[in-house]
Amino acid sequence: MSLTSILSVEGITKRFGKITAVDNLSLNLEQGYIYGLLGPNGSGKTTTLGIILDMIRADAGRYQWFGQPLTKEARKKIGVVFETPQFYPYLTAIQNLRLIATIKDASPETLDELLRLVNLFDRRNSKFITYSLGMKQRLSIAAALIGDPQIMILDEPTNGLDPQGISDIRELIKKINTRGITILLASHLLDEVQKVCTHVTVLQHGKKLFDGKVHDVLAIDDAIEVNADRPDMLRSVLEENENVNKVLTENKLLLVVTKPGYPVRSLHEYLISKGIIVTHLAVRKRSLEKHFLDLLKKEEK
Amino acid sequence: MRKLLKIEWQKIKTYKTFWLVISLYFVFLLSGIMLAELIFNAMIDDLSKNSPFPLPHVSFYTFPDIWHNITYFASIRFVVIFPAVLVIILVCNEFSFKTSRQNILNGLSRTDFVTSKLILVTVLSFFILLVIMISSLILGIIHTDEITVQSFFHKFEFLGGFFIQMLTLLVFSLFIAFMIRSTALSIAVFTFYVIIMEPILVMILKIPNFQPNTVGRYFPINNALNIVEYPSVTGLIKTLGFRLQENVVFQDIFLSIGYTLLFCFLIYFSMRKRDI
Repeated sequence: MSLTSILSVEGITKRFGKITAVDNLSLNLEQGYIYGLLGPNGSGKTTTLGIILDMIRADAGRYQWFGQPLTKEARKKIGVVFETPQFYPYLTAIQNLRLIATIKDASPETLDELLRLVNLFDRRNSKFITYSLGMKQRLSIAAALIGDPQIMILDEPTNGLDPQGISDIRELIKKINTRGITILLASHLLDEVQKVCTHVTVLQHGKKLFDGKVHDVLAIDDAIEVNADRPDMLRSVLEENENVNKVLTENKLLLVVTKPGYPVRSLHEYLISKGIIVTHLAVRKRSLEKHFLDLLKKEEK
Repeated sequence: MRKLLKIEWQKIKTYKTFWLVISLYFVFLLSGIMLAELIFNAMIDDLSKNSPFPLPHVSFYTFPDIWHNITYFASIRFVVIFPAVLVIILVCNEFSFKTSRQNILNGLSRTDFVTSKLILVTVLSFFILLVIMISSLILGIIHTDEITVQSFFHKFEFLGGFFIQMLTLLVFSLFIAFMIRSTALSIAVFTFYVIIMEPILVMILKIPNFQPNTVGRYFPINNALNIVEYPSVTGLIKTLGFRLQENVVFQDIFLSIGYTLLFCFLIYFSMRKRDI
């Protein structure tokens, strides 16, 4: 284990009756990155977070925070933001944060700065119950930042928010990461993970499907549609090109998947140099969601 | 310890419901204490009309009996239920707001969380004791013609008994709240048990041979409330032949402390085992 290991999880499993919510899952989080835990609803994301935060008892497996079992001291270095913010409704924002600072043995002096960071300073003396969902969620983030955590865990933090609220939260997460705080973000939105995270673990039925860098795992191969006056020859010529990974037939078109970074222009020039007159050339973007669903579907088989 | 107390204070400091219920309790308690003698003597006047001899007025507020009289009044089931309900509200709030979970995620251990609530009920019991002590002191000084050290401290022990009784009751309400976790249901179960179920059970157990002390005497709430029994308001009741309590019985105190420890253990145990 490296010195910068924030969290290591080995083979955790949790069953609820006949359903296996988390199935032999292992994770390793290192300092400074933004990790996404991606999966459809019911794929075991929240249960996984529940287990590593010792709210739910696992049936098997182990986990360590900062190389140690989870103690209450370690908890003070872990900021947690859940889908539904949990505060005392009758206390004001600043009173809620002061209470948390007492629990975390943190200085209350940083609270004003945190409230400014999440843009709630002007509303600091309003009772929590009067807050909108977006404000509540931002207050959760401020609360999670009390006591200089090393990692912040967010479970579906943008659920139910309006577009402005969603974008505020995503910007905040990135901003927090620039302070050197590691992030673990659970989400069912591929788009969110793509926009925010550096690393991703894809979960389905509690099992890990993939994990790695977002670029690698969720890399989208853009396909190029090609047709020419002599389709038979086109195929063999394309297959000779070392920059072409795959050639697929779709109706009367050929779908070409090239190596990343190989421009369409180069492909066109290559075909001209081989004496082929192209009658159709178009780049087809695969939608991210479709790609994600494809990944899941492939695994179902 | 100081930290846990500070946390609890931050939670209730600006909680209106808390201050409303506790004010209602003290208004009810203190006005009850002030009116007790008046009502009692009015009842005696009423009885005197049909009595062959004139019945003497009672003196509720003279040392040393005042300690016993007032702690007895403060331990009537309908009165003690106020602070108990308050404790239930405070604990169940934590579960319904899910702040119990958040507290633990922020760095309180499960044990700390329970301990903070035990500190709360201890301080609350002490505070109630203090109010009762001060009001008794004032009333006693006003109404007693001649105060001696002996008359002042004799029966002072009832204050200690009252504290144990209040603590047992509040820890019991804490126990109900931690087990059930829902405010409405906890209050319903607590009230039903304390006001209806236990008294009825105790009564049924007495029926076969009219024994005053059956096993019902040792039920947790009955035992606790019996630490301070009917006071010797006056020679009146004595002349009618009732057996009256002169001292706190230590057996009751010990049993109450035993119950308190048992409830504490069950709360800690369930918090360690259950998901939060």
